[in-house]
Amino acid sequence: MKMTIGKKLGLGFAILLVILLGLSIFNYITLKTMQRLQDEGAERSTHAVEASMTSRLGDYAYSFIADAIINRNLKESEKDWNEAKEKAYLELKKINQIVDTEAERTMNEKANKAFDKIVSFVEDQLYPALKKETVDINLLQAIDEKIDIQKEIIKENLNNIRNSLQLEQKKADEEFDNDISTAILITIIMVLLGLGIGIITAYLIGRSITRPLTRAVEISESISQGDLTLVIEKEYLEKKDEIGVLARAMNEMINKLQEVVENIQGAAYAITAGSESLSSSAEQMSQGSSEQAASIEEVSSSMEEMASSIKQNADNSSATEKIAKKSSIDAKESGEAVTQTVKAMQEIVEKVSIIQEIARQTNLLSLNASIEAARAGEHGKGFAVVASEVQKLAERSQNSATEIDKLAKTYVGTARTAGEMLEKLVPDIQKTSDLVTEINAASGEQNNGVQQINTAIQQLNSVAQENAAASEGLASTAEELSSQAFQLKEVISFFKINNENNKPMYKKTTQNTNMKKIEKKNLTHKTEYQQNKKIVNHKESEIKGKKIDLGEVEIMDDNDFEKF
Amino acid sequence: MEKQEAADKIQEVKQYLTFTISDEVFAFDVLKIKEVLEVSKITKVPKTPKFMIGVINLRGSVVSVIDLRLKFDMEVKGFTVDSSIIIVEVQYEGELMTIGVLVDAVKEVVKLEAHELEAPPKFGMNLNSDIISAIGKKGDLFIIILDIQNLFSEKELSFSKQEDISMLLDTIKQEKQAENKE
Repeated sequence: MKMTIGKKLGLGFAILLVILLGLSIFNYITLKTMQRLQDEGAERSTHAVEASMTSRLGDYAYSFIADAIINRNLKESEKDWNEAKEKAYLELKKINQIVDTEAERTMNEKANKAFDKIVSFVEDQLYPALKKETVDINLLQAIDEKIDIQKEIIKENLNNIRNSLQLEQKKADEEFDNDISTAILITIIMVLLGLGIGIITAYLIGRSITRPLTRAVEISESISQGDLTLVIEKEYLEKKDEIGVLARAMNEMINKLQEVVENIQGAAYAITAGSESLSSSAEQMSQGSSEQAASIEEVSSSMEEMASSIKQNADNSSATEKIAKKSSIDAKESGEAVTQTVKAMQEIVEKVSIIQEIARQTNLLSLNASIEAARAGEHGKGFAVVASEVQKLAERSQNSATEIDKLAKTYVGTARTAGEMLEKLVPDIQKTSDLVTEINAASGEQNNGVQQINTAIQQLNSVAQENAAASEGLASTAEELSSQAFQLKEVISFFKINNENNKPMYKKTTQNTNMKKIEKKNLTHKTEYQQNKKIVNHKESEIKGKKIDLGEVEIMDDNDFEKF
Repeated sequence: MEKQEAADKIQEVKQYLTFTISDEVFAFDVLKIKEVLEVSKITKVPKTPKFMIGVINLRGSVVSVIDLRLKFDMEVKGFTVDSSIIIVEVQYEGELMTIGVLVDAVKEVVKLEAHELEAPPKFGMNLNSDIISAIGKKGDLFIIILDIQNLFSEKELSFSKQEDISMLLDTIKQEKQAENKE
C-alpha cells in the first residue's frame, strides 16, 4: 500500500502489457515457425513434384535414344542428347540440393549413378553402335535393356525420394498442426491470465480509489451541509498515495474552513459589536452635531447681537464724532471768548491802574495834607483828621484797586491758562474726532468682519447640519451593518464547528455590546453620566463579573458535554 | 479841659512820616518835611556827588534830589509807581535849604509817643548812629527814625557841593573804616 495510485495503475497495466507483449512475441514466434513450417511444406511438395518429374528422366533419355535410333541423324541426336544431358544434370543437381536425409541422399546417389550409367551407355555404347554402318539390333537391344534397367533404377529411386519427401511433408504438417494447437492453448492461457490479473488489479485499484473517494464524497457532502465537525480517519490521513494527499488536503481544508468560519464568526461578532458601537458613536455624533448646530445658532444670535452692538457703536462713534467736531468749534469759540475776556480783564486792569493812580495821588495828597496839618500844629488838627480820613479812603480805594488788580491779573492768568488749555483742547478734540472717525471705520470693518463671521457661521451651521445628517446616515448604515452582521452570523452559523472557544468569545462580544448599550444609555444623560461615572463603573464591573461568571458556566457546560 | 490835654499830648506825641527803602521802614520828623511829590522828571547835573541824582523843578525853584539808597550804599533800583520824593528842609549855613529825598515808597504819617521810642543801638548798625535819632516801635514793626539834619550834614552837603568826588569817596571810605573800627 505504499505505492501511489498512478504507480499501482502503472504496475497493473505494466503487468498486462508484459503479458500482452509476451503473448504477442509468443504468437509472433509461433506464427513465424508456422510460416517456416508451411514454407518448408510447400518446398517439400515442390521438391516432391520435381522428384516425380525427374523420375521420368530415364523415360526422356530413353525417348531420345529411341529417336536417335530411329532417325539415325546422329549429329542432331548428339546435340539433343547434350541438351537433354545438361538439363538432366541440372535437375539432378536440384534434387541433390533438396535431399536432406541420409536415405534420400543414397537414393539420389543411386539415381545419379544410374543416370551416369545411362550417359555412359549412350555415349560409350550407343553412339559407337549407331556410328557403324550396320546396326546390330541385338547390341542395340542389349544397350536398351541396360538403359531400361538403369531407367527403372532412376525411376525407383526418385520415386522413393518423392515418397520420402511426401512423408516428410506429412510429418511437418503434423508438427504444424501441433504447433498451432500449442499456440492456441498458450494464447488462451495467457489471455485468461491477463484477464485475471487485469480484473484483480482493476478491482484492487478501484477498491483502493472508490472507498476513500466515497468517504471523500461523504465528507464533501457533509461540508456542503455545513458540518465541519467531521474527522477524517487516520488510515486515510496516513496514506502515502494521492488518497492520503487528498485526505490531508481535505483535512487541511476542513481545518482551514473551521478557522475561516471561526474567524468569520468572530468577525461577525466583532462587526456586530463594532456596528453597535458605531451606531452609538453615530448617535453621539448626531447629538453632538445637533448640539453644535444649537451652539452655532447661539453663536450666530450672539454675533447678530454683536453686530447690532457694533452698529450701535458705529452710530455712537459717529455721533461722538459730530459732538467732538462741535466741541472743537465750541472750544475754539470758547478760546475766542476767553481771549476777549482776557482783553476785558486787561482793560479792567488798565482802568484799575488809573484808579490806583488816583488813589495813590489821593494818598499823596492826603499825606501832604497830613504833613501840612502837622506843620500847622493846633490849627491843622481838624484838617489832619480830614486828611487822615482821606488817606484812609485813599488807602481803601488803593487796597481795593490793588485787590481788583491782583484778582484781575490772577484771572487774566487763569483765563489765559484756560485759553491755552482750550487751544490745546482743540487739537485734542480734533484728535479725538479723528480717533472717533477711525473707531467708526474700525466699527465698519468690524461690522464687515462680523458679517463674514456670520456667513462663516452660516456655512458652519450648514456643515453641522450636514454632519448631523451624515451622522444619521452613519447611524442607519451602522444599523444596516448590524443587521448585515446578524445575517452574516446567521449565515455563518450554518457551519457547525467543534470549537468550544467560540462560546466564550461570543459571550465576550455580547457582554461588550451590553456594556456599549449601558454606555449609550448613560451618554444620553450626559451630565448624569458624568456625575454617576463612578457608580456606572461600579455597575459595569458588576456586569462584567456576572457575564464572566455566565461565560465560565457555559464553558463548564461545554466541557461537560464534551466529556459525555 | 479836654482840648488842653490833647494839646499836651500833642506836645508829647510827635508825628513822623514813614517810608520804605528795601522793605525797611524809615521815618522823618513831619515838621521837617515840606511836602511829598511823585517822581517827575529828574534833570541830571554833572559833577555832583554820586548819591545826588539830579535836580527837579519844584514850582519854579530848583531842588536837588538825593537817592537814599545810594546814600545808604544800597543796591540801586529803578523807579516804581510808589517811588516818591520827600521834600525836606535842612539848615545849611544858617539858612533853610530845600532838598528832595528819593525813597521807594511813602507810607503814612504816624504818631509815636515817647514810650514808643528807643535810642538807637551804639554799634552793629550799618549806618552811622548820628543819622538815627531813635527807633520807634509800632507793634512788631520797627521804624528807624532818621535825623534829617545829621543825615544831610553841612559837611556832607558841602562835600556834595565840592566837585572832588574822589575826596568825597575817600572821606566815605575813611568814615567806613572808622565805623568798622568802632
